[in-house]
Order: sequence, then C-alpha cells, then structure tokens
Amino acid sequence: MKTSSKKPHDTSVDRRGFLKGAALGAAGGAALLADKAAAGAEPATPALPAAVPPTPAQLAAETQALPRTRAVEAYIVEHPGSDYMVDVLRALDIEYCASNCGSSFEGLQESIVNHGDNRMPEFLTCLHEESSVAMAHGYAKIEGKPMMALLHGTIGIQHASMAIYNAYCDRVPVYLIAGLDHEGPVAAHNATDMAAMVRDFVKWDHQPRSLDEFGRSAVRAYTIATTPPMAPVLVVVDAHIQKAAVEGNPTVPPISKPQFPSADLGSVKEMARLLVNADNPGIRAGRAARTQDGIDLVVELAELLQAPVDGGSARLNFPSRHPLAGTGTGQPDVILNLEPVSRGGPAGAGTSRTITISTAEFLISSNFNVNGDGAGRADLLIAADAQATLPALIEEVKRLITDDRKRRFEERGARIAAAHSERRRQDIMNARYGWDASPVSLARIAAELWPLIKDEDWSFSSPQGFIGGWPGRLWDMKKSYHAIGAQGGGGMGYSLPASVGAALANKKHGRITININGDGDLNYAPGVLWTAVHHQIPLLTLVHNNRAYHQELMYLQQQSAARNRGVDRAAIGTTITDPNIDYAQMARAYGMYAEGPIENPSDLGPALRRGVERIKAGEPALIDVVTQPR
Amino acid sequence: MTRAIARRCSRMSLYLAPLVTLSVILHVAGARAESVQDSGALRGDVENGKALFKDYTCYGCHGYTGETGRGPRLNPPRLNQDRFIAYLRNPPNPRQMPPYQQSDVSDQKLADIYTFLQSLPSGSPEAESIPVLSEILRETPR
Repeated sequence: MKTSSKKPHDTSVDRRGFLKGAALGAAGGAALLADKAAAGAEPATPALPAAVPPTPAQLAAETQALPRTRAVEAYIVEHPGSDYMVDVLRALDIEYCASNCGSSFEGLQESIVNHGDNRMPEFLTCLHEESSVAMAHGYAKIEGKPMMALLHGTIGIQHASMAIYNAYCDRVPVYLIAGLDHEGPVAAHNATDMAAMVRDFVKWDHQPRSLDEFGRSAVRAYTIATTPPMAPVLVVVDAHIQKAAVEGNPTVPPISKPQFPSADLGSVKEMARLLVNADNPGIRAGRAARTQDGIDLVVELAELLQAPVDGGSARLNFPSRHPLAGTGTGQPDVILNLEPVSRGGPAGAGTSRTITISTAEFLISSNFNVNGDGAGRADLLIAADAQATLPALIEEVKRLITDDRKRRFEERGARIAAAHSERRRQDIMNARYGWDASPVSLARIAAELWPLIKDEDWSFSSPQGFIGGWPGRLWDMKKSYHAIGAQGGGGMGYSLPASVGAALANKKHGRITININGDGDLNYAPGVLWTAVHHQIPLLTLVHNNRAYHQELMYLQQQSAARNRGVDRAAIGTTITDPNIDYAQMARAYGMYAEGPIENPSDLGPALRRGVERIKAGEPALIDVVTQPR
Repeated sequence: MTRAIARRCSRMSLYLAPLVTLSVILHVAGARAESVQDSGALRGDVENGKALFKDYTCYGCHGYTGETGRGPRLNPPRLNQDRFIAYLRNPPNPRQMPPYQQSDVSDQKLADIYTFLQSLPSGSPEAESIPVLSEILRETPR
C-alpha cells in the first residue's frame, strides 16, 4: 500500500512560523484597512494580498519608543532604592517575606515581585500581620535563621505586636521591616517614632535616613537578631527611600557573624568540677538547644556524666526516648540549668547546688516581665550561651573523669535508665484510659498518629502543654525539628500561623508537619489557613476541639470554689459552644481539604490516614476532632 | 448509712484527712478496690448526675467519662459513696481539687453524680489489646 508523507490538512506550525505569520497578517490587515478607508468603498474584488510588508513608518512605530514627555520622565523611576533593598535581603539569605499588603511599602513589594522575580525573598500573602510574624517565628525555629515579615505602618506594627512579643519571649529571631509613608493616604498610619510601639520587645530597631544607611542597618539588624540571645529586630523604611532612584552604585555591606558568647575558662572548670564530683547531678534544659548540634552536645554531656536530662517543653533539648531522659531518681545534689525558661527551674531545693548558664541577663526589657526573675537564683550563675559553652564544658568533664568515677557513673546511669523505662511504659499504659470514649482522648490522637508518621521525615510544630504532652510521651522525638516548643509569651493565636511557618521551612526538606491546634488558639486569626492553601504548604492541622478555653475554665472553677459561691457557672465566658464551631467547614471555606467534626473515636484513625496522605502529596489538610478537655 | 451520718462523716473528715489522703494515694495507684456502695447510701439518679457532672464542670479535670484529664480517674469510682461525698467536702489539697460545699451542692446531688459515675461503662481496654499502643510498647525496652 502506498502512503503519502504529506498530510492533506496539516494544521501544525512551528511556533516561530506561527508568530511570524500572525505578525505579517496583522500588518497586512492594518494596511488593508487603511487602503479601504482611503478609498471610501469596498474593493471590487475582495481577494486578500498574499503578504503586505510593513512600511518603514509602521516598523518604526512598533520597534522604537517615542520620546517620553517630561511628565512621564519624572514619573518613571528605572532603578528605585527598593531594588537595592531586595539585593541586600537576598545577600542576607532571607527566603521569604510574609506580609499583609500595605501602601507604605508598595515600593519594596514591587521590587520583590519584579526586580527580585519574587524569589529570595518570595512574597507570601498573609491575611493578618500577627500571622505574618508568627509564621516567621515558626519558620526560624525549624530553619535556624530569620524570615522576614513586612508590616504596614502603625497599624501593621500594632497588629503584629502580639506575635513579636511571643517571639521575643521565645528568643527567636524574626526580621521585621515596616513601611513608613508620610505622604501616604492615611495620616494615622504614620508616627514620629514608628518602632516605639514595640521597642520594649524587639532587640534592636532603626530607621535609616538614606539608602546607604539602609544597607548598613539591614546587615546590623540581621547580626543582632541572630546573636544569642536571639530576638526580633525592626527596620523602618521610609517610602521615599524605597521609591527614589538609586544614586551611585551602592554595594551590600559585608556580613560578619560573631562568635557566640561562651563561659570563661574559670567558670567552665568550676562547673566541671562540681558536676564530676556530684553524687546525683541533674541537667535541666530550657531553650538550650538551638540546633541539632545543641541536642547532640547535651546528649554527650549527659552520657559522660550519666546524668538525667529534664528537657522541658520549650525546645527539643534531648531525645525523648534516651535512657537518661527525665528527672532521674532521688534528689539531685547539683543541678545544671541550661538556658532555663523564665525562672531558672527549681532553685536547689534541699541541699542542691545550682549552676545556671543563661543569656537571659543580656535580654532585658524595661517594661515587660519577659524573663521573670531572669536566670533565677543560682550558686554559680554564668551569663553566656549554653550551647556555645557546652563544647568546652564537655572537654573539661572528660579531663576530670577518673576510672573510679566512671564506674560510679555507669551504676547511676543504669538506675536512671530503669526509671526512664518504667515511666515510659507507664505513659503507654495510661494512654489506654478513655481510649473508646467520646469525645476522643488526646492520648488516642497522638497514639494513632504515630504509626502514620514514624517512618516519614516528620516535624511536630505545636505546643504540648494543652494536650497532655502526649506526643512527647509516646513518640520518638530526637531531631531538633521533632518538637519546637510553645509561644514564648503565652500569647494565644500562635500555634496555627507558627505551624504554617514551620511547615513552610520543612517543605523544602521534604518533611511533613503535624500541628495539634487548640480551638481557642485557632480562632484568633484563622485566615492563615488560606495562606497555607494559597502557597501549598503541607501542614496537617488536627483541631483539639474541646470547645473551650479550658485552662481558664479550670481557673474560674478554682476561683469560684475559693469564694464558696458555687462552681456551676465556670463555663460562662470560658466555653465555645452554642453554637459549636464547625472547623472543617471553616477550612473548606479557605479552600483546604478538611474532615470532621469527628466524635466517634473509631472514625479517627482512617481520617488521620487520609490527612497524612494529603500532606504527603504536598497540600495542607485539617481534621476537626471533638476532644476530651485534656 | 443515713444522710445525717454522712454529714457527721463530713465533719469528721478533718480528723480523717490523713486517711483520706492515703485513700487517694491508693486510689491513684489502683492498688485497692473497695466496696463502692454501702447499704445505707443515698439513692442517686443517673441522668441528674450526668447533668450535674457537666454543670459542675467535673469533666474539666476528669474527662467526660471520668477516665482522662489531669485529675484522678473516677471510672469506676473506688471510694464508697460516703467517702466520695466526704472527700468532695474537704479535699486534702483544695488548690488542686475544689471543695464542693453543702451550700452549693447537696449530698443528694453528689449522690447523683456518684451514681452517674457508677453507671459509666469503661472505655479503657487493656493497652496490649490496642494495636497502636501495643506497637509502641514493643518499641520500649524493659
């Protein structure tokens, strides 16, 4: 059978040919319309010319710009200052800029999306400034470096203030830039001293007067934010500096990262002597481990001493299943506090001697009681960064340990390991209580999640205080991103946006993120659910829906009892019922995959499985679980 | 036991505080299961007790089925009714367990709550019979 290589109606054209033909056709059509207008009548024969080349005037009109008018020339700024600002931010390795848009920084926003091609930093659309900053808070706790939140004038700063306060209390670096536009549409969005509103809980702020000064200020802010004690910083950028043309060729200032403050040699020797000579030392870690290296150092010290480590709940300082995890046995005679939270831990009850390494005294606030009594009472108080001090302390401890001490340490370690194992088994046994109850028990949520995530690279992003600590009691937490602690300042509305930020940081590592979010917390600024969907941030949120501000319910119950006025009205003002909130419906409204409310415990496992599958596929999901109060 | 005797027991509870404390310790440890019903106990109403358990926010620390939360497990109750009432009148640590006074809640209401707790089925199978917990147990060295 004979075949032809030529198709009878071959409609395919290569793209170049298609565009060329289209251009010629358009030009020909235009010429034709001109001819028709000149003739004032339809041509006798309507045949189209095969191709009409453009005239020189037409070509010039299409390929050469007309000279600008003076007004247009004055209007267009080809190289605005905010382009340079983006160059600086990129040099600082800032990956993301979370923001709720505002006119005071429209110059910088335009440079991010156009000059910077919306990469490094990428602009993330947020629906509330508190969400922007809390996202940056969660991101930094995973990634170990700051993310940027861009705030609009006085109103943006005030919306953001709660989240800034949380980050400050939690000693987390957040890179804040606020726009200031004295010629903007609303006078109330400006202030003489913009940073004043949050100065008590940012570590440093500056309002540069020129573009050149912005460069130096931006680098200085970054260095200060990322030097322990880490904390948010704020740079206020005037709209005029953003929009005015760059003069000259400003370069990005050199970025120097300082060595972190560590204890002096004499203090290290004294600490090591006390610890090695102690009969029953204990280690208590608050915000000691900033990174995986920090965890590894605490493990090394604990194993050398065979001392128990109470890892607290502010960071993952120590692996949850390590045999030395916990409070050990008996009364410690020497307690080593590493970056204690707020009060420095129980300060040496009985005969205990207390050593504290803390940067709390470097992070004072003139107005707020951020650090309580700072490092707390201690027999040996060392103002230094714990993680930076540990290598020297470990070396000194190694030097002092004799064979005899080592044998005694091993005996001690065996006792501590036995106690740890017993506690773990008891926790698992306790998880069975209320297993089949409705509402669903919090232990069951954690237990059912574990087999679904344990073989994945996973991260748990929310506080554990309101959920009975069950993830930490049942799961094998050993990486720094397996648990990232709580709000810092106790401000609600943290868990959801911080989890979105944490999930954003985890995403590039191919890591899934789990957030067990209280219903009260979720209601502060739920719009961040939309941000998670819009930017496809894989986060599984399980709503711990106890339909109450439950901690407050218990407090009110106590207060009523203390006054002997009856405890049957403690639910007034503390519960979130009548109507019950449908969180799955809320999430769906933001475009998120959601299930619930789940009240039957047997429905939980399959729903969790579907939720985990969703986030493994790269999208966020929410499951509303009606839960026991605690 | 009559209501008058129950009230007398309540007054005596100050003297019995160490015993009550011991009882609570044993209760938490699950080391003792004493008789849960005396022959002279008040007759309680399950439905009323269920409503009161909620109204008085008992669920806040003990869970809706008396098995979860920060407080001791109440399902099944391990004190008899008299001692249950006496305990609620004068808990050894009122900062943890709010005292429920006669002026606020009558003995009869507490008896209703007690009867409700007695009526609750256990929702707590053995850990070894729950596959996910059993698996976590296997991950835990002895």
